Amino acid sequence: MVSAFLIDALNDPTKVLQELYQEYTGNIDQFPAFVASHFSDVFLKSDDTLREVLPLDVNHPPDSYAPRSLVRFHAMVQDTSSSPEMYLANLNENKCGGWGISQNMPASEWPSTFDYCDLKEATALWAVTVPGQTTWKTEELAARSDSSSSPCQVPPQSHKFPVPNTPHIGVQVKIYDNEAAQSLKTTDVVTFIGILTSESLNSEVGSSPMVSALHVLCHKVQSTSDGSTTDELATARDDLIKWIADEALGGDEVAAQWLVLELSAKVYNRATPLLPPSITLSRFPVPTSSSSSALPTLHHVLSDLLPQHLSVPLSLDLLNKEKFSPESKDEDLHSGYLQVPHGTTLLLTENNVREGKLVEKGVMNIRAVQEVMDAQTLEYSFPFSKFSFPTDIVTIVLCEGRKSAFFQTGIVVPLETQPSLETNLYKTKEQVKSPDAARLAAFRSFIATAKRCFGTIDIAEETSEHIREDFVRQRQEDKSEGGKVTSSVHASAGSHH
Amino acid sequence: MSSPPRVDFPTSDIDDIEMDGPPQDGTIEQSLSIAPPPQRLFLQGTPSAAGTPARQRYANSAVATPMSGVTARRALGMSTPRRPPRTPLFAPGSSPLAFPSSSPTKTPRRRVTIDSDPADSEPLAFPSSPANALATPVKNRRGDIHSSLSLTPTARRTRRGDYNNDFSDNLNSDGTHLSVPASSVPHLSAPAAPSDEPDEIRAIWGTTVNLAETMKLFRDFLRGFKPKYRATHDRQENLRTRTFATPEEGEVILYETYMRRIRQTGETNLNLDMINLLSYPPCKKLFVQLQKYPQEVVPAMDQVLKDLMLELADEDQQAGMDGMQGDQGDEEIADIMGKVYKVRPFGLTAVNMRDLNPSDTDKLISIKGLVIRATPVIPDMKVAFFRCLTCSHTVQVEIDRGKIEEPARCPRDVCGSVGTMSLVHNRCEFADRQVIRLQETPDAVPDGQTPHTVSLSVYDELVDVCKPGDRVVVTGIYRSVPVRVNPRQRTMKSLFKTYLDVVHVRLNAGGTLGLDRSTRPAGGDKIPGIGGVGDSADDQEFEEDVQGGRMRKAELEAKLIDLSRRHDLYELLSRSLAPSIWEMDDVKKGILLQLFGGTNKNIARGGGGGGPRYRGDINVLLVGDPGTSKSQILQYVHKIAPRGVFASGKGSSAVGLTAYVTRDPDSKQLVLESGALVLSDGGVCCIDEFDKMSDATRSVLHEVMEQQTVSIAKAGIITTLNARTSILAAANPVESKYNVDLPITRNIALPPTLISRFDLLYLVLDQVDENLDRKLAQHLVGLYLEDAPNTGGYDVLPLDELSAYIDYARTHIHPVLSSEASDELVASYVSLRAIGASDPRSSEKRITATTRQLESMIRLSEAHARMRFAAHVELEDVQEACRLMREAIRTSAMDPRTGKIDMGLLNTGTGAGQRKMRDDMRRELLTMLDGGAGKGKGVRWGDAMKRLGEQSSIRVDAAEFSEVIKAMENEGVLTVVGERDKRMIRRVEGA
Repeated sequence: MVSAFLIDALNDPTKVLQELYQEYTGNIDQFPAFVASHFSDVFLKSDDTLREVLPLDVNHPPDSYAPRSLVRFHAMVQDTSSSPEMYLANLNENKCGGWGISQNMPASEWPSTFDYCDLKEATALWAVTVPGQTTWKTEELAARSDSSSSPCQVPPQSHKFPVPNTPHIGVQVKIYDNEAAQSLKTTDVVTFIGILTSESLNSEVGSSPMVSALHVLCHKVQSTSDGSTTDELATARDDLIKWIADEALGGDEVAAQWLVLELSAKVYNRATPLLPPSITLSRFPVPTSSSSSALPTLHHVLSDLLPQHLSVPLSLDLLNKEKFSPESKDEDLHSGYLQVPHGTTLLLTENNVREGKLVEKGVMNIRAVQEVMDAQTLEYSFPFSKFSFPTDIVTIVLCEGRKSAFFQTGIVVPLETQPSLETNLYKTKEQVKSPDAARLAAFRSFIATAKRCFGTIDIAEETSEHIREDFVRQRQEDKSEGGKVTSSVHASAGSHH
Repeated sequence: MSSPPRVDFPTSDIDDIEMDGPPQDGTIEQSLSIAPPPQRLFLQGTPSAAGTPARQRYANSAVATPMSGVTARRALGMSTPRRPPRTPLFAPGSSPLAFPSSSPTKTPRRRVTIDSDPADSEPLAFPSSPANALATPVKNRRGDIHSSLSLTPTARRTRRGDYNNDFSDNLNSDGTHLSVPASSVPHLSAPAAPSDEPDEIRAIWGTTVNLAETMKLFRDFLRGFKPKYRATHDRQENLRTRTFATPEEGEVILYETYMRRIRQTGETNLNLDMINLLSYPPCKKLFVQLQKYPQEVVPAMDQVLKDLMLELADEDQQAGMDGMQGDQGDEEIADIMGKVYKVRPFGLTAVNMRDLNPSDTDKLISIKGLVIRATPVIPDMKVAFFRCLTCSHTVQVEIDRGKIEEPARCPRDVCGSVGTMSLVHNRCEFADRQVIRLQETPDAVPDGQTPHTVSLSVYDELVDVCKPGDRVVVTGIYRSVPVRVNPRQRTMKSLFKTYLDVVHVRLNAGGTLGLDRSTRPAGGDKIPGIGGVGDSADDQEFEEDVQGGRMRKAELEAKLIDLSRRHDLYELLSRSLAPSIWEMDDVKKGILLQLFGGTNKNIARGGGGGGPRYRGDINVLLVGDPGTSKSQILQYVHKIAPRGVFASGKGSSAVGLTAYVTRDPDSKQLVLESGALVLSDGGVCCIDEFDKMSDATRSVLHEVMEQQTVSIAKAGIITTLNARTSILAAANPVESKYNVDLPITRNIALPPTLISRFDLLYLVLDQVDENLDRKLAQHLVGLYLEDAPNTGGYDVLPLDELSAYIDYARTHIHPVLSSEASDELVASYVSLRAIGASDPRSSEKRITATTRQLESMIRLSEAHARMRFAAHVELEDVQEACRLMREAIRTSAMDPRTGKIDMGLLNTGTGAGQRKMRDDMRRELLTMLDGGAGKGKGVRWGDAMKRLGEQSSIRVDAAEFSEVIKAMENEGVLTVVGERDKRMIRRVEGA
């Protein structure tokens, strides 16, 4: 029965919806919640049923679907500030009016009179492809081998995607179950299942562009704690460090170890800030002219390991022109590099920075990054007010000098490469020697598990005693140390366990 | 020239209707007028009434006057045509022929007939009258209401009814003793009365609302409400109530006073606190009605208000009240008749804009938010004027829910041609309208969400009342209107846009520390138009009661006053400031006083422009070693004073916010060179890394900090901007670490001119001290081990309470110096000067007192008094101010000879036990030196330590020991000779 419904829903969701509406006898206010729970039962219970629904992603852009087909969209909520939309919930002949049905009705069928009681609200928000979602993760989610469909171009509302000039999908999401929608926050990663249509962006303005709209039937917020544990974690750790060191860090295992610690860090407690430390890998050589690849091998390695990873090759031009923190202009929230979901790793490389002038915007951008590093908060600018949003971003800075020119990171690790492996620092993706799939999966799972366990480990009394003594000793030696050290030492101690 | 025609035109229409009315429907309808006002009012008012129309904005109001003029004149037996009295007022153009757009034959003729004899007008005017019925009850023309009472053309009768309401006051009386057909009209229907028109029934919507009753209720309210009702109500709700000075105060008929004031000030708006409706027992029902059916109830209220205005004016005239006698009174009354009065209700509990939902449509609601955008003034068509191209018949159509229904065919039966009605643009009526986007305030946004916005439409007087950036509480009618897919098509989409038609705006509902109001000119922020008269407008207390928060505010106020009576107030407040930062009590106290600030003063009798302004802002500079939580303090202050701006000196340049990246030639390392100065008028500007600011930038501060202005002279612009801000700056000493071997001034290395502009200069020094370090480390590690932060958190005020306290003090307390205090100030200043002057050699090495320091002391004492909620600056305030200033620059720890800070003398965080130990050590050492052992020669350093250690049960700390020695050396009790191990401690003879 369920499977029959599933197939019906896949084929013609609108019809299924109408049928549901007609059978529904309860309060009309509760209908959207009813629909949501109904469809959740069918689709969201297991991964298998979820995968039955066609994915909307970079490889499967909205154009490739017929109007009003059922799709799923694994996305990041980018902007929740659009005003809720009012729609006529009940049409003539007891027809359902939501989920875009009434909007697309020809004007002739528009009821001449209507009751204000039938007006209902739908929450509208803007969702984009998860920024920095790595290829393997996308493929894992799509769970379809056919990547035949045309990769999409940069869609019209591209200012709403954190990374400029990157193919992505941006969709206006309309959620009819308002109560559930209330809990969605910006940068939440959510899987939406709904009916895909195309509508004008802003119904109040005559000439607003047409965008894809997803009328959500049900949705699920991705929690950070899903994933399975594998047994071979202990061996995975050493192998992982070795692999990173050899492939991407010129054989420096100490740096690799720091890196792994860093990758497994996350925000533990905000009240008394126990935040992931940021790390600088200093003395990271600039690419030689022969290996013109701007991105270090580390980028490819991290892309292979992490579900969400973003590399930003800093340059003065980029700092001065691009946005790092989101800003609302004309009541439209423009995105910035730092508007990424919790658990994203950010790799900043300073090797492209040349001499020149940093303008106001650049200074502000640097400050925003520093704020994320220090406090894990990101300020969104709105007219006359700024809102601080919590982030959980692990930042890794690569710089050539002794320390980063722009950022103060909690940890600075000078890279000590072995001359024989130095050429490894910059390689193209193809040149990276990946371990076999099973091993790679083990690595991924190790990092994911470490991240999950982060902060659940108790710090033994003697460790704490040790840290305390260490601090006092350091104070005696170097009088300029502040309290910050404790926090980073402490945080890394936590990661070591 | 356009105004006379507009005014004239409806006049004729109305006459028509009036004439036509009775014969047409023949039904006797219930009169809405509650009490026919005495007629003499109109009789006497006539001459001037005839003259007033030119002033009128709304046709309907104009209608009233000529009508009454006619009738009155008739009643007086005057046979003069109405025109003569008017002509002098208008330029020749006022002649009927002057409207180019109306057919010259019709309108003027009609009017002429009226002038001569109203009865004649009937046949002539008849054809056009129904359509022209526009007539417009006063209130229906309010842009914000769009009353459905006059919704559609079919509601003609309603309108007529309304019209009669309007005039019931004046017509009634006439009618009663005149035998013209008009006489029966006054008893025309109230719109509320169900009539044969379905439209009208819809307008009342099958509810229990009887408009006549509603009007009567409101009338009773205006006539009967006394403050004592409110007091009773508040008491029932357990709110703090204002106590009446005298029992009579509670017995005043509040709204009659307001109405008199409206008359005297020429206002047209009455702000109505809806809570008052609720507290007046008979009107509880009205409160609900107003909330549910504002479209209908508000116009009714407007009408009642006007009726009562006239009634009251008349009563006053009869009573021979001042300014209302004879002709003067007539003039007033005529004036009132010509005006459109608006009731502006407010006082509903403000809801979050997220909670608005479709069921609120067309109801009165209140929301608060932040204005982010306002359009320029838009002319909003209120009444469209159509003319038939065939027969030149004219029709006026009123706006309904933002739309104007274009008549499809000529309504005149004789003509009836289809599609001939064309809009005559300059005969239409327009209102000022402005669309405002209101955004949720940060405190209302749920966690992790981005703020929502709604559109507001404001009309007439409310236009330009709020500017982008203002925090407002608005009361308005929530609308949902179908969206047109394509503006050029007439089809609708099943989407709706929502907005608010605003009836009342209240500015500045900010909760936290706002701008310093004393920096604004008195009354400068007062907005014309919004003021109106009525609850609140002139009520100082209203400033305090944020809508819905009235009770909370009152409670808070009581709480704050309670707080101010605590004897440990000063400690409590300073403890609550940045509670996570350990120790540094004096720094916190100084900053606390900065937040309170001194009083801004103007010497009014000075030279031109009211004389110089003396700043009350206190500037504080923190200089100290890295890692002493200076930045954290700054951040905290920035948080508590939202108007504050946080700038890093390192990220600032005088030009703006620019920076430069260079490569260090030696290390090949990229270096960031930059310099931001953002100033916040009326707030606190926090500048971190003050020393790293370029000289050019810093020089701007000179002017800011004393004159509180920024002068700009570039690109052909020479101007002076206000920068009334307190500055809280933090800097590192010259060599990053404080060098004890250099005098203070050289360690700070800021120009003395700038330093002297800081009222308080704190040296925050980082002393290496094992005990202290151990405690600090323990404290910090402890923070991480447990979830509950131990932020010294015993009995501290939460951030919002602290900021509320400060805000209240800044707004309400303006202490003045007592004579006792001023004597003390003088004495302190003189002694400060004396220190500097005593030794000319040292003057350059120390921060000397100038008159600025005297002013600083005044400001600090004022701030301290303000903190106590005291009206006068007392002796204790001055003493504390002096103590703070002394402590701030560590004068107590400074070597008067060298100007150097003696680290040994600093006792930051030195516990009492430690001090006792030092005293013991010192005593023992003296006994040792004076005793036999080393008489004359002195004692070796190592020996002395060893011997002390033998005597003592606890280990003698080397650092402690050297501190003691150093202290004694400074006192001149002993000297140390030699180096390192060979050091000898010698007693100075005769000391």
